[in-house]
Amino acid sequence: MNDPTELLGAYALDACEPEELPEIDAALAQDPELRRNADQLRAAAARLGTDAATEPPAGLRARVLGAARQRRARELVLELYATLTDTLLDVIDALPAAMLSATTANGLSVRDLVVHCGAQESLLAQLHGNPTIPELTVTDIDARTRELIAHFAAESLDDVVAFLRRTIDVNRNWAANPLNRDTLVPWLGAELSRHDALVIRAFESWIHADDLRRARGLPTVAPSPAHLALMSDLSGRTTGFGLVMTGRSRPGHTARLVLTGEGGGEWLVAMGGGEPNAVPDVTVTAHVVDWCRRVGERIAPDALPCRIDGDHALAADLIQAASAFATL
Amino acid sequence: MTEARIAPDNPSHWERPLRARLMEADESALAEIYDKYASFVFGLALRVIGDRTAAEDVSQDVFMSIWESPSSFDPDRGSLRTWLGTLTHRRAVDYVRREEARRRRAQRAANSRDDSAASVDDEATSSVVANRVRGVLDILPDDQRIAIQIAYFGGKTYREVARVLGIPEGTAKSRLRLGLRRLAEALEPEGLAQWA
Repeated sequence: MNDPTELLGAYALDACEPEELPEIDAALAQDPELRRNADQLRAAAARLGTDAATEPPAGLRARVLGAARQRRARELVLELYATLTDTLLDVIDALPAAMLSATTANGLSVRDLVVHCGAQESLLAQLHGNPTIPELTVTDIDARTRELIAHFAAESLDDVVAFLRRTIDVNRNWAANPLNRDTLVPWLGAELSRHDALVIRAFESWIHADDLRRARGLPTVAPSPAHLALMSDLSGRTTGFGLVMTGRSRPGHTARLVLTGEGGGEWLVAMGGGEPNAVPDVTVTAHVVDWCRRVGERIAPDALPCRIDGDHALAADLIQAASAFATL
Repeated sequence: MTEARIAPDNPSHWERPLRARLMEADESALAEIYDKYASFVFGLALRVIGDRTAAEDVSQDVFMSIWESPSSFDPDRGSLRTWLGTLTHRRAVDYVRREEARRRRAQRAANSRDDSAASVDDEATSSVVANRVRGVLDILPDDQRIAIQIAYFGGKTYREVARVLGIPEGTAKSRLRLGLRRLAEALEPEGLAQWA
């Protein structure tokens, strides 16, 4: 081994051979004086860089801050998923036994809606490789719900809720593992990022918590602006794909979606794939909460309170396609 | 040889609270750091890499590092400028070495003669030396200045410095160490402590 003192200059200049670094790092960790010398030489080396200072391109600042925002959003999505699934579990825990056979907005009974939530959560767990009910492998959500309803037919609601809670925990643990940060999850024929998969799950948890509230005659509750922002962002980014999926593709046309209220925003949607045009053919303006309920199919297309400027036929397609990814 | 003009920095007191704000994911703290150090980070990356697009990528990577891991910056060990400079240089050098390795592989695949790769390196090194930044390095004797310039701005290891200059490896190591030590001592009265 070289004398670490001899190599200190090269070390401070990043000019050591890679195989020498572990031994130098070990020597620095054991010898505070050597480390102090290395820090001084590093400071002198960094000082060299100031003579090269150059004004960066104008767009770099926005790019850096935009990337920072996105990475922050990546972690906010864990909070979103945790908050909205906790809320769903709280709403389920508060259900009176007498309500279990009442019909909810998606046509299922209250009890079967809870099973449906278990079907959705367990599908995500299955798709990221941690199945919570290995014998259930079907990925069509309607069929999966039917099979799970049959599976739990003889069980109590408490058993169903315990399964749902355990599955949500599995999904949370998967999501919180940094190694899974860039994992892709197959979903409805596409591949979703971890971020988008969690937003979808949180979105549906919110919709179903409101279904249960409605069934009890309670008022619905909107998510926080920060959480709405993640949901509206997902919708803004994917509605173009929704148009294609629902056969409403309009090549060459662009819609501008303006969602008002905290958590809203603006998106240019290429209605036939590709890049959007700078000048839209139509602008649809709606409140962010109404739009998100439309995305969750709890507001019918023709009942969405909105303003349309431009081509009404294109607006109708956009509003129809908003719910392309809704399941039950 | 001209006397280096050194503009002392005045960091320290704002860096600790700034780090605390970064740990709370305060975006305005990152914006402050960017506004203060972007030309330093980008300029250093550009000087080492010589390509604006790659220098932009490295700069973004550096600012994302402080954003995602603010705790890796320890104000007790040195200034934020030193931390950013060290990280920028390391990332830029990594980029240069990756590119050189890729180029050598491509040349081998094209059955080029081995020494053609060396000639590309030597060309790059000549460019580094010729494109000398007049500044703090001017306080050093030529042999130390050139060695440091090739290593720092050319992204070369001390062995490559020795090969380029035709000197023994031990001599290359000494020139880098003695030159940098001399630089540190010369800068000390003018505020290197604020950099350390």
